[in-house]
Amino acid sequence: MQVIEVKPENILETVNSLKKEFDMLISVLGTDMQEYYEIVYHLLSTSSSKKLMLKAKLNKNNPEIDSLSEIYSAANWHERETYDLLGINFKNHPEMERILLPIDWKGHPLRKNYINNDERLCWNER
Amino acid sequence: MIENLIKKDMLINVGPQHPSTHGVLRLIMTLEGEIIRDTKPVIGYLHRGKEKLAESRSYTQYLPMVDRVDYLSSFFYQAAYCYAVEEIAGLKVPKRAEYIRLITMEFNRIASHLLWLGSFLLDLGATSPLFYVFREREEIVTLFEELTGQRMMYNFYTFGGVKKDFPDGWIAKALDLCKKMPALFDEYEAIITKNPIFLERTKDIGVMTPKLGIDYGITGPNIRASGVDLDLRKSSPYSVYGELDVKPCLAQSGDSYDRYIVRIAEMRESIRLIEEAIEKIPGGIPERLRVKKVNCGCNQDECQHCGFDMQLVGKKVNPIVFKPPVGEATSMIESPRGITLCYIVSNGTNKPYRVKWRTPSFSSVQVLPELVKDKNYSDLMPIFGSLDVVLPEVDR
Repeated sequence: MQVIEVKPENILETVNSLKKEFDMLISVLGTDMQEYYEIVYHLLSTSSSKKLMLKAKLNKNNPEIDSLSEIYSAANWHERETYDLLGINFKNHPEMERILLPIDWKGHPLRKNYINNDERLCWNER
Repeated sequence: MIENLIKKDMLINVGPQHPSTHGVLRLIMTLEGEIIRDTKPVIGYLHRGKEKLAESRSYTQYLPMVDRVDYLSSFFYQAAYCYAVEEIAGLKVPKRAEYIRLITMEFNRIASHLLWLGSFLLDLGATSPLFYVFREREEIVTLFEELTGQRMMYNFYTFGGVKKDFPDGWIAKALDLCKKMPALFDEYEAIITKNPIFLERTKDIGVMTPKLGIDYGITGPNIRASGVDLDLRKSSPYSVYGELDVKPCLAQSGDSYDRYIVRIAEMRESIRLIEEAIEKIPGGIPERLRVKKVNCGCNQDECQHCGFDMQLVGKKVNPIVFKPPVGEATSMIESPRGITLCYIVSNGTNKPYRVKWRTPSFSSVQVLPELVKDKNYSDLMPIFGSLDVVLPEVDR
């Protein structure tokens, strides 16, 4: 599978230029890599089944990147999920809310330094 | 929202415990009379944190949990996970094991589609097809029970192969079932396909254009019903699908009826694939292979009786010290509901650093508001049922 590394500020241009060939967005995911956050986009071409992986490294202190929901509608929920579990902010996203966890959940579980010490929960639920 | 209420729109809540939501899905709907104006799906009631749980378990310990992502097509999720781990660790899979995987996966696809057929027609108000499909599903599940010891959540694949060979007589039983199945599909089609009530409720309902489907990342039978030829089994073969002749099942209009037609055609196609795979499996039936192995006994890799490709587990991994090298891998497979993606990052320890599941039903729920917009409320169930959504898979 082909991998392209993108700078976070160039993501919209890159994806716009790739959209013609890679017309389907399969998934958006994030990984906490200790020093930085990594966002991975999996793109697929429906005509030739070519696969492409886009990667962007985000700053740990202020992780944010432009939302792709204008280009692919599929990005909407995948980005919400990434926000929910990893706490990445997607700029210009129509509704940046939690999707899998309850809306009053504290913290983002897939971060490596996440500890659940929500006092509202019983000891065995933490 | 308040403006809508003033205009006499009605806000109703469907679910989360609605019988036809196949699990726990909640829909917040704005209705104008009987016409659906707006829908907001609320998911997450079955979120079990599969991706977080992987961080604290070794690769082998996580294997049984993978089954529970989607309980109707466990084999596919195990396969996706195994392919990803094998890619990182560089394990080679013997051909006989790959064929056993393929045969079980295709049987699992039929079982999954059969259950979909029953529950879809139950949504439409027909109770009897459910008993028909469970009659056939029972036979497939019995085959699986004989092979793996379980009726669901099989936990049968390992890294580098499968756990064991087919039991004696299994292949004959499987072939008998394959012979019987097409006649049973004819029986369903005789009851359902030309049924005027069924046609009335599904024809031209919930039309998904190819553009809409591709935009929302819909895959599997749902997009093939819109005429988009996207089948990873054919276009980028992952197991030994490259050696078999996979024919895509397509329909044109993309309505609920076509999604039904495509799934019925896929079940017939799976039967054909199983028959072809049983014919081509290296080593043939297990009883004969065992005798030949004993008689040959040369233990050379190229031998066609006891070589590498005739084995089941290529290289046995020790679950405690199995540490794939640093790296990442993606595997994409064609599950009954669409493209399943498993992405694994390894940091060289015996626990996966990050596991990501991309599930096809997640996208199918996302597209639901677009499909039911400005439709009658009674069309909700034919549309939602035909998408074949399994909620544990959505929430993971």
